Amino acid sequence: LYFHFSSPFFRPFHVEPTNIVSTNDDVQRVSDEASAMNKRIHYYSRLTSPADKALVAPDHVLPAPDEIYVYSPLGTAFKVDSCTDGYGKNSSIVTIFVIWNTMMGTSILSIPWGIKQAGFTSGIILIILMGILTLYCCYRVVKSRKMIPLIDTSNWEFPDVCKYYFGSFGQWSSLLFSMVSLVGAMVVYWVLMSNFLFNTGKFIYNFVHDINVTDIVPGTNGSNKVICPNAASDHPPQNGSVMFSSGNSTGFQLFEEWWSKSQTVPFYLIAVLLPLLNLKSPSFFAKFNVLGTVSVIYLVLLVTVKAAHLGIHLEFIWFTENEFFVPEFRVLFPQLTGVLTLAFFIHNCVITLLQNNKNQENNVRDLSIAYFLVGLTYLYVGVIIFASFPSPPLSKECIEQNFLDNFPSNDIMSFIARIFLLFQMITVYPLLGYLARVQLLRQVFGNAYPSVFHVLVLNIAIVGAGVAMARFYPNIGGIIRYSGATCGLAFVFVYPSLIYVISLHRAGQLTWPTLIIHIFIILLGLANLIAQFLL
Amino acid sequence: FSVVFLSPQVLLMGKSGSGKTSMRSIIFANYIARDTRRLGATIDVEHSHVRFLGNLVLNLWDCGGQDTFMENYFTSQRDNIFRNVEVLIYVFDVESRELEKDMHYYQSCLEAILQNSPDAKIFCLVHKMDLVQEDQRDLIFKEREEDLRRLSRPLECACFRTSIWDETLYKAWSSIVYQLIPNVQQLEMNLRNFAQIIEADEVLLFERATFLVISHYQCKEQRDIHRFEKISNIIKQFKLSCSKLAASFQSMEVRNSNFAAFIDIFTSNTYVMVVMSDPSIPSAATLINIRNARKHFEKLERVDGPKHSLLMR
Repeated sequence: LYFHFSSPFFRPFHVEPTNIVSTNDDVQRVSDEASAMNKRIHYYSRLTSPADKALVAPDHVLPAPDEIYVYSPLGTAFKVDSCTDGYGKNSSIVTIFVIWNTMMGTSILSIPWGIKQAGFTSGIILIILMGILTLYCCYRVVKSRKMIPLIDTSNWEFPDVCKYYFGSFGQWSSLLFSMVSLVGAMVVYWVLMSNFLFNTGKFIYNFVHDINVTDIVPGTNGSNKVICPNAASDHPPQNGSVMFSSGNSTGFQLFEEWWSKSQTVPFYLIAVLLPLLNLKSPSFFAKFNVLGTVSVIYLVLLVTVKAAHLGIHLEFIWFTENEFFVPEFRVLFPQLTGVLTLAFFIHNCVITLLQNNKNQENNVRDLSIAYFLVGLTYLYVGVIIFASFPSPPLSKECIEQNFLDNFPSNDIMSFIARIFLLFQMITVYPLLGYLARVQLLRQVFGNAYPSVFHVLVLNIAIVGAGVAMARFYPNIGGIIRYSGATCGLAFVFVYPSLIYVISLHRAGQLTWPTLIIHIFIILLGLANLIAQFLL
Repeated sequence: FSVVFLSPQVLLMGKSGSGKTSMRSIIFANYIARDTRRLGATIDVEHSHVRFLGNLVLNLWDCGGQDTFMENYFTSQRDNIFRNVEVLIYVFDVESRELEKDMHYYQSCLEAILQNSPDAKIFCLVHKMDLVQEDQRDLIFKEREEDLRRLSRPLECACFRTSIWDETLYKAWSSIVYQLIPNVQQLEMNLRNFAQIIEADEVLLFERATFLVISHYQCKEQRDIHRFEKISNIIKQFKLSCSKLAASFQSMEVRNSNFAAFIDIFTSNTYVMVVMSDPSIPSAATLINIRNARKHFEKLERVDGPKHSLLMR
């Protein structure tokens, strides 16, 4: 989630006035040092004329500007420059790009599978509808601060609004759902990283030892091979039919034993990532944000090239199953909505991202354009992969939860995609871990780094969850939809609508249609969550 | 012959540009109306009207400037300048490139003190410490402190490291003022008794002109260690506002559902601040208690009154 450390830093150095009317056990927004410095500066400014530079605070004594990190669970995470003069300086195009970039990420890998689960036509319709629905809820989030009377909310984020309306319950539930989204994202990352590392290693090994592997999984023939990995689960390969140009088979078997996607590789990752998680400040990793953009663009390119080679294979059957095709409307559609909830999720930090917009009156327009572009990207990738999936030899059911799995490990284009994504995830993973740690420890212990022991225990728990999932349940589509529907329930469906209804009610402006519509939205969110477990 | 009637004085000395004028302005809430292009050294010929702790007068002198006029003036007036000095506060700029020269001027001041006011207390402030990197501050200060102690013999000097951008300046001056209050330990004991009798959470004793905390008693842990300086700054800022209206600050009561705080004149040299966390006790009760205590504390102070006048020769 988004969060603001200690005092906000505006020019001139500003600390929000302390409220002495009521004391509560809030985590102090402002550190004691910052508060003392603030009083000092105020007092000194009364001692000289404004033109006199003698008692103006030099830069090196002012507290360092806050580190504001922004993330979307399956998108990217990066550091936001605090706007030093209180105004944003980003043009609309930059704002739109930043929003698109933050939302875009690994959820793109599961969209084709989601469309397959929902059916082609209903998949397209659902992407459009969910985009619109989440956009509306995002709009509600952006407007939520304005409805609060009498308090200066100019540096509040959405969790602060939740705390205002729901008190300490709002605070703790915000934390819980935020943790769900973060830990869910980190588990997905671990599974994917294991996957990509495994495939990369396999590719390199096969390349170095000049091995031509024909797996016995069903796949197409020819140069643009597409495989169906899970069909092999019915007949486990006893002897893979492997052709060696050089090398011997015992070396290969040893390699397969020590380099296994679910048995060993997830553990090797621990050596790389657990130390990175324990670092106190991840600002180094925030610089690699560009890898995310490059990965997405490359994926779009890959999809286009593959589709050009494979051609379109679509057949419209409305309600019945077929050996190769899936119906247009399927009962399993909630699985797509679960994935989409997380794919369109930016409600935790949209306020911060829009704050840097130069023309604030264009916020809604720019947000809508960004959502439109995100939806378009998802639609493009999902539809193209689904349509070009070679259905006469393979069934559409073969589309994997991570569509890169449908390409064999010796496919060059997907090898490059996996490497990009692997590096991108290695740089985002410590950032997510840092955000999870700081939020959790700060709220529970009051201190972002209580001791090395606390941090280590937390990190081992998170890493353990990731390794366990990679070992026993590496279905990223499943993990995404469960965590998406859960955290989406709070931040997308319930809180924005509930807060809107409550604020209207307090202002005496609540009408029946508004109430019914928003209750409907809340029920949709609940249904979304329940359906994940029933189907 | 003429009789010179001198008030006991506190000398604030140091090289030109070491930060003395700013320091005085901050500690004493003096508005500095000055040109940023300072044309020369501070010549505090007219006595500043800053008085504190009864009738101590604060005088600033630039010491060791480049100006030969200043040098000559300083040398010829030396005996007058250094007469009847209670306290010498010497300010060193930690970033100065001319350490040898600084020490030389400091030593000549000490000689003058030895001749004219051998009982004076000496304090050395190593100032502008914010310009030094945080991890080096302790080291550099210790070095300077050793040098200064060595050079000051046979006189004793107390050293502090200060900066106007953190709490060190306030703490240093509080320590200095604490050592200047006659009978301060007895004051503290009485303050503790007073606080315990009226069941206050915290009682602070401030010096009147500077709102430096001379002494305090607290009955439970307080979270904010910067609260003394903050209160001092707030009240001094308020005093500045009052003076703009030609009004003078006398007392204040701040109250909410959780606490009540009273700031009031106490003795001729001090202010008191009483913090009560039981809001059910009516203000009148606490104010009566403060009034009664005042009489008692004034007697304590008056016992030492004559000590001051004895210094006037």
